[in-house]
Amino acid sequence: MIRRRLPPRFFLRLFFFVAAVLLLLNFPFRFNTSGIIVQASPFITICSLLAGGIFGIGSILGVFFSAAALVRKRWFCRNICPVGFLLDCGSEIGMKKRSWWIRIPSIGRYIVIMTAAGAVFGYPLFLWLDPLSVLSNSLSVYNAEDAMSAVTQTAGIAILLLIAITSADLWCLRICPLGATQDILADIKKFFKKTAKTFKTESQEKTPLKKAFPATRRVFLAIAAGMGLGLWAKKINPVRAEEGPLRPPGAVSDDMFAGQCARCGGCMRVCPSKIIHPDMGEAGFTGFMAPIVRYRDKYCVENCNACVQICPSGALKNLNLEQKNEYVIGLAMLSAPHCLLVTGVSDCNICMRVCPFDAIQMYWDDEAYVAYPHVDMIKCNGCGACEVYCPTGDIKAIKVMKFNGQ
Amino acid sequence: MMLSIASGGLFLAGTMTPLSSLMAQGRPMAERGPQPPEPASPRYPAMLSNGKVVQPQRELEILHKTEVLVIGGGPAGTAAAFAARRLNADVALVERYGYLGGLATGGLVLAIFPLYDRENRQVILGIGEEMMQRLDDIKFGIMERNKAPVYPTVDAEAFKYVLGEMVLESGVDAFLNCWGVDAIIDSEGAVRGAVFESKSGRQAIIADVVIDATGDGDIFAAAGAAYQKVKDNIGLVSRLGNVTIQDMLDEHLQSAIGPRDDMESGMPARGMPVTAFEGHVGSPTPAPNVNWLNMKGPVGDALDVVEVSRMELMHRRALWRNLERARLRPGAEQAFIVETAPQMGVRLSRLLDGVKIITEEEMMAGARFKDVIGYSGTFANAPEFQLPYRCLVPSKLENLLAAGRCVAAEFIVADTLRLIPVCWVTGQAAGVAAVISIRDKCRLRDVNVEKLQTLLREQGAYLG
Repeated sequence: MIRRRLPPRFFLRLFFFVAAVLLLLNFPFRFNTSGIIVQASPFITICSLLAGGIFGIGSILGVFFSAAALVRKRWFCRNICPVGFLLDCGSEIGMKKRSWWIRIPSIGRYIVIMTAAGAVFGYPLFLWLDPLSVLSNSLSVYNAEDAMSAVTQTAGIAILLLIAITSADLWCLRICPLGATQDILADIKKFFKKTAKTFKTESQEKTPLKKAFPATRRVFLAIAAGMGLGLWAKKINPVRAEEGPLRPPGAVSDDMFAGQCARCGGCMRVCPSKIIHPDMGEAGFTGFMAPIVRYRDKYCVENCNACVQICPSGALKNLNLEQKNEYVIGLAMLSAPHCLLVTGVSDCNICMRVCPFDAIQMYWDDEAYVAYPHVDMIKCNGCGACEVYCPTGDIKAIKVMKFNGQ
Repeated sequence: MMLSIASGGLFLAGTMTPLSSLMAQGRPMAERGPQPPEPASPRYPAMLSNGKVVQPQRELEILHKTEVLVIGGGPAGTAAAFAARRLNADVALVERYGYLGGLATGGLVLAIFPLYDRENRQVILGIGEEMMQRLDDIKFGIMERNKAPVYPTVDAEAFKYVLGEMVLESGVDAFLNCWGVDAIIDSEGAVRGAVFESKSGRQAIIADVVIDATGDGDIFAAAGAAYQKVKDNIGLVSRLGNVTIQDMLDEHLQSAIGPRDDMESGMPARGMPVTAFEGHVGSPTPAPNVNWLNMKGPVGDALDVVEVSRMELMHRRALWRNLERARLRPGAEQAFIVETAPQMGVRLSRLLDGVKIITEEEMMAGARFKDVIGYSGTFANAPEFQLPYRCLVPSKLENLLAAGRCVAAEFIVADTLRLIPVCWVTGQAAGVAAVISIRDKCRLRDVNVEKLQTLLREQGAYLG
């Protein structure tokens, strides 16, 4: 279609695609536009709200797109969706046969239903399947720590493109939860219309429910499965102190985090210190690709709260700068056998000097006759400055570790 | 036979005295009874009257007259003396101990830190660099040279030797084992010299300019300059011999245990209080199988003799306890203490109220000054920053410059300025500025900064 005569809609969609990519990269505006774009997905808007998440500027757009889906079927997909545009372009170069999967039912609908059901228990299961999230995540690749995470971050969009090239429209029409959300909204509208009609005309004994929803039993099964999986996933997440991964500031408790996070990679992208990285399975499979904090060259600087502002799903609570500095990422802990000061190797007091919150003091222990850096648990928020500057080499004498309040 | 006696070939049994010299001079005789007083000995001892001890007013012998008088022969003092002497000034150097180098040698602060900027370029050159170059030529004199960001470590004895040689070559009049105790001021309050105590008694040296490189600022405090008194940790560094292992060596790190195991084995863990340890063996020095072991020590008042005396005794006791535990470690079974530092590691005591007090913000911003006299290297998250000449000049007092760790800075900045290479920088600048003020007949605060900088550059200093 595109090859012969480009319809005006093509240029409209191209415009929206370019705009979405730029806004996801926070260009050209100074404030975080990336979160707004991801949040504009009706799927994320609805499920985040159900999960007790947030209602941001992007959610207004999300509601608007949801409403548009009621008026015109899949209005968002046909006009705006940047991923849809990308995939359509992809399928143009591939085989255009769209035969083999035509009988498959809409998996996307069940994904949406299960996610929404899980979201009621605070664990939206498949939030990360949202196409805007996948696109956003792939754009974080330039901040990637190593090749492995770069590959994983781009894998999502690569798989979608592969699907588009081999079987056009399979993703969009059958799997995409964003599209399915709109379908469900349309279904509900149809259902109400029909019920209203039935009430008005009091017509024959046709069951409108069965027509509106393809399979009521399956829907209830999906809801039950979603709730069950949500509860189960919450249980199996590791929450042990000292072992859990460090999450970016503002992160909800770790049993909820992996579920609420949409894997959009926004926080990794905006972090000026580049300390937020995709989890490659360190926190168990449920947390795969969710952000974790690792301190290498830089720490969580005290004059920045970009990540908490960008988060579209509410996995990172929106905190102001002061609140963010009070949020406890972890707690700096000393490994005395590694400490240059404790072992008398040198007269180091670097951790004390670099701490932005004056949380580290050099304590003199008269019994052991040794001085050591003492971390004030009240003041320390785990920003990692001490760990970054600790000069001991590969094994840091002072390290931020997970701290769950006790 | 007479020939061999005359050539000193025969020695008195059990002594090193050549028989010949004995014959020539005669045996020294013990003298008894009241002796005529030595010229500068206290002819007027302190008097106890009404329960108070009063020292009568007395005239002091003027031992020496010079242009530049440097009190303190540590890194700052020696650099100041050499810098002034190179400009052909008469220089006298008064040192409390029998060797030069101060804390860098006698305090066993062997790490030459911080030398480099963030790009690992050496920003501290000049006389300090010359000292290190001389150490380069000495076997086991210095190690890890020009390996930024690793810092060089020197051998204390080699450094003492090098500084002694430099004094002998330069023609600086050095007075060792002389404790500078007081300032000499004229009727206008300007400093004219200093009083010091030695085995010869209390004597004075008159000078045109006095450089206070005492570290504690004893002279400017005595002269009445304003200062800030601070307390910092005071430790006692030592050297261990016969040690083939080091703390923090890679194998040691790799065998170190994780946080979870720590708690089970009772070892100090992350976040746990530090109670019991295996003995520490410190880090290597240029001398083979000799390590130096730092000690932070408790916070104390370096100007309180009672506190410091007690502290030093406790430190020495702790060093022996540490040695006993260190001997349990493989590779240190036969370890022994080569020496404990003759001087305790006093970090900071007095900080001058200078014309300019370097602030923490300036340090963190990598400040640049018009009257730059040198750099401090990068340390922790502070970048390299410039040192202004004004931080050596007292806000009111005339004819005196501070150099070394007592220069004008806020506490956290002084925590960097107190380090050995930075003391070289302030010392060298003070020496040059003193000579300029004498030659130009101007006050120290009016010294021509461009001239100062030109002369410093000629002496190899790095000013950016």
